[in-house]
Amino acid sequence: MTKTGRSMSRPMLTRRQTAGAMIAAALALSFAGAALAQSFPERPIRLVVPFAPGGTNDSVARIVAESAQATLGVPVVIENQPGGASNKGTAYVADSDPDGYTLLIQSDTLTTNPIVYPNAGYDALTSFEPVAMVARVPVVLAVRKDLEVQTIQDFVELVRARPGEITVGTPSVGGGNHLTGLLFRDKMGLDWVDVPYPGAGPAVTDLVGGHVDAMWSMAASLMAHQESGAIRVLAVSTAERSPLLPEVPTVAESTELKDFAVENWQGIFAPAGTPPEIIEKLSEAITAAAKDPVAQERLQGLGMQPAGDGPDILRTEIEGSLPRWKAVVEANNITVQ
Amino acid sequence: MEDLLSNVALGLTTAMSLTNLFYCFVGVLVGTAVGILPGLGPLATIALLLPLTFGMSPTSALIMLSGIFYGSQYGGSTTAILIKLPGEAAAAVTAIDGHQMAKKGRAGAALATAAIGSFFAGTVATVLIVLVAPPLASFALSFGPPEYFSLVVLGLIFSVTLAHGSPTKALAMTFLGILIGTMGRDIYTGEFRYTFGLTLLEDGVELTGLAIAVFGLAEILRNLETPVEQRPVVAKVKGLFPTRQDLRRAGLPVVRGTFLGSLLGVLPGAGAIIASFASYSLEKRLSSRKEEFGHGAIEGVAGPESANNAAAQTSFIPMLTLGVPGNAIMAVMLGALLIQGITPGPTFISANPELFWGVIASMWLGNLMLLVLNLPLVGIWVKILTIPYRHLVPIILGVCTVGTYSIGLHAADLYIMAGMGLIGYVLLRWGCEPAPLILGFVLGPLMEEYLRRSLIISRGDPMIFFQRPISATLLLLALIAIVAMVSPRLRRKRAEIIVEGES
Repeated sequence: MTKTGRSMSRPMLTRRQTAGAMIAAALALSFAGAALAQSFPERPIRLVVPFAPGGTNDSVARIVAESAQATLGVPVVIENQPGGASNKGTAYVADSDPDGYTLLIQSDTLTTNPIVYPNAGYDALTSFEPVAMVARVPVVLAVRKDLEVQTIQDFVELVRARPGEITVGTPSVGGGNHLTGLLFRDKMGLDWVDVPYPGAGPAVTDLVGGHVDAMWSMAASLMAHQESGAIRVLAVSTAERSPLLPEVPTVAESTELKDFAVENWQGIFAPAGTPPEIIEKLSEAITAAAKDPVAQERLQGLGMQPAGDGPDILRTEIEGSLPRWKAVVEANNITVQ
Repeated sequence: MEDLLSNVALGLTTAMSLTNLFYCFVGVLVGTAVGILPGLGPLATIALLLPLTFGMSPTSALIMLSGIFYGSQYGGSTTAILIKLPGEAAAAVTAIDGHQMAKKGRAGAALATAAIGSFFAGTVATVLIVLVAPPLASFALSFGPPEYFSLVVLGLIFSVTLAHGSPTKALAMTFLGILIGTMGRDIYTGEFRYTFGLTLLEDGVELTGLAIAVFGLAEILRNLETPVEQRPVVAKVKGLFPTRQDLRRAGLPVVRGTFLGSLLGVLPGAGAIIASFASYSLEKRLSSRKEEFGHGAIEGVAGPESANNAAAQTSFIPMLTLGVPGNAIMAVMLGALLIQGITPGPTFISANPELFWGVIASMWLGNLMLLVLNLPLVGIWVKILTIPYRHLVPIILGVCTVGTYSIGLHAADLYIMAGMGLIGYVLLRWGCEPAPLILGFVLGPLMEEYLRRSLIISRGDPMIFFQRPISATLLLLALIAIVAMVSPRLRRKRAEIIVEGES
């Protein structure tokens, strides 16, 4: 009897209770994402560098990783996945699980590559969630030290006086530096000879050696040579003068192109669909890392302006530069199948 | 002179501090290890260890990183000699005669010669950096696209002398190498070439994987042809150290290799690889025992090994004195210095005397450590040859696979390596040697790149190659080389005809 009594005394689930349990379960499920975010990160995070070790992008990644892993509490492991003009590594992250454990570090190349290479394998806006902008990098126009021009106006006059004769080193065809140069050239109606190089390093060497007349390049690769007088930086591409080169005028202030403003950057991205809570957490850690004084000093050493901006600013930057580069690429017909 | 002595003293004091000695040792040890492991190279290692250096003083950081670099040049020859597998691309040419020596039981002598030659080269190159770094650096800057083109042409002409068989086959191999080198993305237009629509070929063929394939894998495949019992046993190891006669024969090649390497190392680009090939060709031309080349001539080990080590050392010159990194490794080192807030350039030496002279002095100490480290190891390395082949081969294949994969984390590189191994085997059966193929592969793309760049700069006028003095001189040398190569053959032919006519 007692047995039955005990079983009878066990409260039976009422219909209301069942409903309540179901709601709770549904709620629990919907909070699972949040709970996941709460416990994020639980294991090492991979930061994919779509270039070979040793480039600017790679160095920036290592500086940020070093600072960010302290905040995140898990190791941030750099994984170099070079190839396909950086499309390989970038597309790899775009296709990775959107769980915040696979991230990408990219520059303006993220925006320009899908325009230049229609088969890049990703879309600059829809394939990624921007996480943080680590650093801003001005593009500069520099000339060899014995070229007889002192200002960008002199340079423009020289190119006009000798159309199709002045040689301009191009760090890589279709890259941000090349497109910046083309944008300027087209707007000013100039005619010069583009000399392509497989990257900034050899192009800078030839500029220092005086084998090409000028070059458009990220400031980072030219800062040291500007200081030693091996080359002359004539102008920076940004809207305002750069704190890295305060004595160098902007293109906008020294030519008739009053709205000329181009800026390269280094940013961190997660695959599209990564939960916003995780993005927020990553963004906090990475912006903090970029603002860390030690990291800032290292970034400045590389010729970068430490930024530490959130996802919105990074997204706005990409949205703003997409149509501009599209126009330049189409006008110059540099699409590669 | 007094300045120089006080500088050297400052350098030695800095480099001899306990911390710096420690980092120097760590550097050369790690360098030796990555040099020995095929595929895993100094570039990836240095980039990987970069964050570790953030906390060090700039001097210790550069001492360690440079130790890895020149240490790997020592290590690269070890596997090349023992199992015909170049640990580094720059050691590919060492595999030719080094491995033949090993087959004759003279692995110890080959390894020791490589170590001693490298030490000598390292020492001389260090002295050169001390004495003539700035003029050498400006010499490097005077090389623009036309000068490089002419230099590469000269190199390619020498490549024919690399083979010990038929010059026709050597020429064919060189062209095949050039063709393989053109695969992938064209840097001028971004278009794909010879990819046959395969994504795995879009980035072209990777040098280290190719060298492993055509030297190592092809050799393994050929060895598999003969059943184990009939396989020619590697001769018993005869003595670990070079004999007096070996040393006499190796002496001049070491000296010549050192100077050739020091000069070519300063030039941006693939200095160490070109230097080792150039040294081999030079020794073969000068030798009175040409027939021994390809069959275990000690000159073929001594010269190239000295050359690549000297080149590794002097490649620091443009980076330190001009801030111009000549290769990817120097670019990482430059980055390491920039991150520390130090800008290499013309004022670098006067602004950071302790750093500059400390690093230079550490290079010499590091080379000494490497010698002390490597000579006793010779005894251990030659033991590898006593491992039964059926155990050794799987290990070699495993290491090669991991090493090649680690370069770019692309499975494609492995497929390419396997395919090239097969091709290499077939070529070997036809009596075609891999060395000219590798040289063509290295030089071909460079030649194309510089040719096109020169012509872009000159707006299509080929006179650019003859108007510039350095370029014109190099082309003249190339012409002389062709004439010198052809004329004895012509003379011999004529002699043969005369003999036939008389009979």
